[in-house]
Amino acid sequence: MSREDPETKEGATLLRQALAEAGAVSPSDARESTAVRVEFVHFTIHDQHYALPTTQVSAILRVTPLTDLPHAPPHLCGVLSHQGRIVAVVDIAILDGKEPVSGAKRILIIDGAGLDAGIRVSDVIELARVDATVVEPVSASLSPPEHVVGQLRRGDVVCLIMDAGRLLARLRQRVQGSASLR
Amino acid sequence: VKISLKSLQAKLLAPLVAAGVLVVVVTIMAMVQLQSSELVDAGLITARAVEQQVRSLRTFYTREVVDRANEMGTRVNYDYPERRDTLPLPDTLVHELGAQIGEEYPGTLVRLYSDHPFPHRAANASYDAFEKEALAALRRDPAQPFYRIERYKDRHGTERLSMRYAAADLMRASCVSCHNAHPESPKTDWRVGDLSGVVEVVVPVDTMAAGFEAGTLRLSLVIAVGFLITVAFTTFSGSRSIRPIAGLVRVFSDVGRGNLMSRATVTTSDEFAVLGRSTNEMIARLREVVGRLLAASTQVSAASEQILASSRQQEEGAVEQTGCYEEISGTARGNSDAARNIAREADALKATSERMLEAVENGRESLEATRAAMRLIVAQNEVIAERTQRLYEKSEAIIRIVDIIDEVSDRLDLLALNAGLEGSRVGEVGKGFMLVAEEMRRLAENVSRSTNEIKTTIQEIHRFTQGSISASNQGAEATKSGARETDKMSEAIEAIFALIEKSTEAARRITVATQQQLSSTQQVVDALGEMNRISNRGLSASRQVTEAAAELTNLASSLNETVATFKLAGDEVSDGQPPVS
Repeated sequence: MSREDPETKEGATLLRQALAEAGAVSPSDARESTAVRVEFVHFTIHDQHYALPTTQVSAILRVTPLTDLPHAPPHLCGVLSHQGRIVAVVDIAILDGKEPVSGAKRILIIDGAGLDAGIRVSDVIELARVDATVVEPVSASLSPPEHVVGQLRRGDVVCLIMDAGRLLARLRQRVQGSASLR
Repeated sequence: VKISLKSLQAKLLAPLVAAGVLVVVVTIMAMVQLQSSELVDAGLITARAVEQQVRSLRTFYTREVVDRANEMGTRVNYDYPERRDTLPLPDTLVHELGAQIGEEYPGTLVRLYSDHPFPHRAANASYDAFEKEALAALRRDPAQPFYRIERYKDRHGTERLSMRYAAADLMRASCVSCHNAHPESPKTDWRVGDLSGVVEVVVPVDTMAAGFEAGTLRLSLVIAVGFLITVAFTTFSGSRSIRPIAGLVRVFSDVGRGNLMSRATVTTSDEFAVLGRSTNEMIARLREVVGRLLAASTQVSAASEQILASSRQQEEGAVEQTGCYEEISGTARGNSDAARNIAREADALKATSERMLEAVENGRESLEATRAAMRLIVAQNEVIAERTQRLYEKSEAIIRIVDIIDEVSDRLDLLALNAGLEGSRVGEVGKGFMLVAEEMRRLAENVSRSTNEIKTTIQEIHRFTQGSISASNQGAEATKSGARETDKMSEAIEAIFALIEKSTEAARRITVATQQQLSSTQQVVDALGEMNRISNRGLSASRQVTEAAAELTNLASSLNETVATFKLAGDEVSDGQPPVS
């Protein structure tokens, strides 16, 4: 099941650390064995499958009408109210320089490093419990965005594993950047 | 001109001569009649005288001689010539006396005969026809003597014209006893009044007849001479008195030959003078009449020629007219044939249009059925459209419900996801919870799939029903336009029907009209035939007129010729006869 190449080992370690940091796995599990069970939210944006650790997803919402933010950048779709808090909703496809997500069905509320945001996704496929060993590093040839930290296989499809912290950091940079630009 | 007056004289004399001849003949016939009755009377007187004398003698002899001889005893019998002492019987005496008279007066005869003769006589008794008839007649009626004049041959063979007379000899009282007693008597029961026999007397009358004839001849001669003298005298005086007629006869003869210039000369003052004057007047009148007749006959001749000419023209006209009638009649007959043809055509037309009418009637019925079907289709179409619409509405309702279900299942899914998220946060404790949430999600996904399938199906139904609605709308439109078309067609057929009805009616009228025309034409033909007949009659009449006119012309010309034979001019000529005194 695991490939014993240095890169893989390195990636696995990295991922384990990351997961531990994110609180997805208990530190004991991460230490004692590689046969650790990890839980992801498996979803799609356009045709691309993604996975987010359940620890980084606080809620899954239906797409509801958003309140527009005037003068906001294109990837910032608007804001909504979630459990008494104002949450900004972004479109990652726009962020990645792709077509906006059409027919988005769900909004995932993610949190990481004390920040939260909503992302528009096409659909949520499942809550997947996988063995931590199937998590692989993203092949460099794909030149993935910086918030993608790895990949895993679910049957025939390859899911890119996102990290909410990195995504939120990047968003924050973009917001600041755009603000500084203004 | 010689005129004979003999014929006139003969005519005048003929009755006279005839009367004279008749008188002479009648006289002679009367004399002959008288002569024969005189002869019978004279003969009868003589014969009766002889008979009575013989009877008287017999009576006398019986009474005076025979009775006395019987008293004296002298024998009396028929055989006295043989015995000197015997006297003859009375009848024997009569026999003998008759014989004696016959000897002395030739031609005279006295005899007795009986139905019951004595045997010595019966031996040589024979009776001729007169004697038999006399016996029979006297037996019937003894009172009436039987007689006639005939030629009688006496015993010497000399035949002379004689009176034969037979009288009944009745049995007398003096004879009965003797006859009954005589031994040779053939009958012994005689009674007085019985017919004992017949006394026949024959007396010659030829000399007397000769005397009568001589007298008659003389008398006839005298009458004839007197008659001739009368005729001669009459002829003489007649020719004298009719001589003036000759002149008149000549005048009439001239007139008869046409000479109307002849006139009678009147010199006397008797009836002939009147006749002559009247004749002259008559000739003058005749002259006038003939003159007028001549003029008239010339006029008649001219007129009759004109009539002839005009009647010939009329005849030619009538012939032409007849020809014209024939021509017109031919034309009318042709017309009649044409009318018959038209009638046939019209009949055919009528039949055709009646068939057409029938066909159109059928068409109308079919069209009506089509219209009804169309209306039904439209109605059904509407029903279908309505139902389809309802189906569409229902399916929309289903979609709404499915949307709700979808919503619910989506919420369920979301709920399950969030529950799973919560479960995963709890760690090992939330593991079972996560499994339930997973199962719930799967359920929600199944529901979602199902609802999606339902939606897909319903959308297909939607599509179909929409197609169906539009199709049924189109169908309704089509059927409506079809109904409109059939309505138009129905109107057209109605119009056609009306037209054909009109045409049928027209054909019927044409048939009737042509029938009428036919009968009219027939009447015309008949009338023409009648006119032709009349014209022919006119033609024959005008031919008769022509013939009559021709005849009239002939008559007029012959009349002219006849009248022309009369001489109406020149000097009057007298009859040239000596004046009639």
